[in-house]
Amino acid sequence: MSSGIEKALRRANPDAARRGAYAGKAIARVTGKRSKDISRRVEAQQALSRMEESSLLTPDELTARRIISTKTADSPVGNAFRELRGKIFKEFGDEGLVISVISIQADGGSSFVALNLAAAIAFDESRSALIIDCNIDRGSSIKTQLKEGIALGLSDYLESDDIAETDIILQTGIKRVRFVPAGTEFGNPAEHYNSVKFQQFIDAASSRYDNRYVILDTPPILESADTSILVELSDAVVLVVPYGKISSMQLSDALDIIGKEKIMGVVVNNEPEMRSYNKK
Amino acid sequence: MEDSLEEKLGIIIKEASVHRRALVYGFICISLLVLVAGLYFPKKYESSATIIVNQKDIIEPLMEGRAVATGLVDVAEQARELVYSRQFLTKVMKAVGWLDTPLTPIEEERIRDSLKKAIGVKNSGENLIDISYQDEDPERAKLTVDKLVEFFIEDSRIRKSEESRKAYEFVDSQVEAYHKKLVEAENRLKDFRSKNAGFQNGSDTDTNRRIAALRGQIEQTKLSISEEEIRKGSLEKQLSGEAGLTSSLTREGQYLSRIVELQNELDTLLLSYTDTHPDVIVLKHQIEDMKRAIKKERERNRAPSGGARSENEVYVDEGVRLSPLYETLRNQLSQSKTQIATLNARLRENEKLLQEEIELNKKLHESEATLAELNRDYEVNQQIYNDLLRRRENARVSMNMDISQKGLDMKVYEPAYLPIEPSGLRLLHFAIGGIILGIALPLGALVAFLELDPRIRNKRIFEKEFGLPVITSIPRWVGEEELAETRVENRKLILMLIVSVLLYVAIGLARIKGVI
Repeated sequence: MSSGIEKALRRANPDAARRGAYAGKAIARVTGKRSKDISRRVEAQQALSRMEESSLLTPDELTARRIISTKTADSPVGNAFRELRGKIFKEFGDEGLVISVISIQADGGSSFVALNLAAAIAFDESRSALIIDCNIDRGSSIKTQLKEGIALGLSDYLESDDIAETDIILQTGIKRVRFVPAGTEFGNPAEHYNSVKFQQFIDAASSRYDNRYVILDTPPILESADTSILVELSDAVVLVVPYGKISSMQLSDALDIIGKEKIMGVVVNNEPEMRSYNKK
Repeated sequence: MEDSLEEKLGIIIKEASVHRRALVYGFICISLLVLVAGLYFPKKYESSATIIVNQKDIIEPLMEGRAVATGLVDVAEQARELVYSRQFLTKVMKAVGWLDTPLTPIEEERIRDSLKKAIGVKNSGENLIDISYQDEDPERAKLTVDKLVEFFIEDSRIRKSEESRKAYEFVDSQVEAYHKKLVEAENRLKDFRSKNAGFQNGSDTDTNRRIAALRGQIEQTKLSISEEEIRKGSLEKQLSGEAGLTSSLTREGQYLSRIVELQNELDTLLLSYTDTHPDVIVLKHQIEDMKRAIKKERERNRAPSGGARSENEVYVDEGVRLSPLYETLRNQLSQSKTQIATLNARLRENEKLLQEEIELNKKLHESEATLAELNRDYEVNQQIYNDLLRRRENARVSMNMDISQKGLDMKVYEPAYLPIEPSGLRLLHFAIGGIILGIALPLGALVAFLELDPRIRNKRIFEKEFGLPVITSIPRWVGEEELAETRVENRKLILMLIVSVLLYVAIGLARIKGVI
């Protein structure tokens, strides 16, 4: 199992593997920085390895839940998420960050992308991901994808002082991936997102581990005014556009709401491809 | 933004794979429907015949140069007019057998209409008329075309002979009209001639000559008169001079001259002598005697002649002898006066004659102009009349030719044939068309949908229109079960395609074998 993960990691992060091989020939300064990086990552890895993981899902179970795993890392979908992950790492370095995964319309696939992005990030043993379901008013499909029941979540935490952070951060059955459900209290989302408590929560969640990636699964832009607040809070935005579902007009409306500054780029989701039928 | 062809094709292939089921169903439904339509599509057999026509307006050559012919009408247009006429169609229907069973007028009209649609008349060459007809029954198609051609030629001939007969009648009526005109002109000429009989021989030159002669005579007379006048003047002058000389020869004159002499003598004597001088007394006595003698003389003269003598007349003493020259002159003067009077009378006569002659000449000219006009009229009429007479004979020949059906050059160039193969769309066409339509229609619908659909399928749009890089493209997640289902479905679709193609072939074969 572990060898499989290593293999997947090597595939997912070929740069890291190559770095080790060519370290001797590299310029001293870069080598110095790299060795520092590596030492930091080793520390993070050690810290993460202490994360409590109970009842992990098998790759087959993950596949059934439409989540990429070491088994499907090489599939077209797996490759696409690894590409996405790679680009995020390349752009923002090894630091952890807050990423909003935004879709334009409902059922735009933002939850699928958020969850799988988290899974892809967590392939790396030195990185962890926390998904926060920000669809307070209805809850995202992550819950169903993870086969979670109704659980306390973000809204409950923000509403009540009795609930601790640790109560709402759930294990997902995926190594180094945690999940915060939307919660059971359907109050005014805008108030919650603007609250200091929420911001503190995000800060705490992102700094809890080194190289922690907080992924916000946001409500669709065109359906919720809260999305722009979440964009403000995040370091990067990934715009999920389902293939053949969004018109140029809708896209430009969405861009008018959230602005282009933080958008890293577009992830085209659900693109029909012939080869996807033939390969696993 | 325009997508490139490659991008478009990629998108179309992707969408086609997504909608493959609809495409396959569409193909099967459309192609089979078209094939079934082909099975039920009525077969049409077309037969046609070609007629060669050397048609010329009969009135044109007849009237060549005499009248302007109206423009030639399109041969096919004429033929179409004839063929599509109600009467003609009814005749054909009767001959082919459409009207064998009793029909209502509406049914009859319907058949006539369909016949009209199925008949085609067109110009295939300059003088070639193509008559074609389509029918479900090849035999009937041929028969109909046969009848069409037969009746067409027949009717054309009737029309043609009608035309030539009318042409003949027209020319004939023209001949009559010109004949009447000619007779009129002739009569006018005759009348005129009889009215102006006097001028018949009095030609222009004759009168001119006469006028010239008269003018000469007048000139001559005038000259003579003036000569005579001069002569008369000079005679009168001479005559007055001669009269003085004769008066001195009278006795009284002699006395008076004696007295004068005596008086002169006396005067001379008185210069030297007194009155008492004897000589003077003698002289005085002598003078007295003279005076008495004059007195006596005067009394004697006065007594016999009485008061018959005019005062102006010079008194001529009987004793005095008259001058012979004077006598001669007087005679001549008298003669001259007579001459002048005669000449004047002649001049007047001549002038009168001249006037008459000029009048005559004028009249002659007038009558000549009228005559020329009448002659011209007559000649023109005669010319046209003769020409028309000749043309009438031509027309008569044409008419006779047409009546004996020798004039019209119209024959069947290519007779009607029995069509073996149905014309128009056949099952094969439908089969091929069905397959093409079955592929093209659903695909076309897909392409049209993609063209119209504003939703973004081309990833390049994000970069180009919005400046957003595409980080990655996540393919659709296909689970194991779905994959298996897809495989089953694909197999099903392929099977359906094979079955439909087999069905296609089977239907085609059945048709060829004549089962269906």
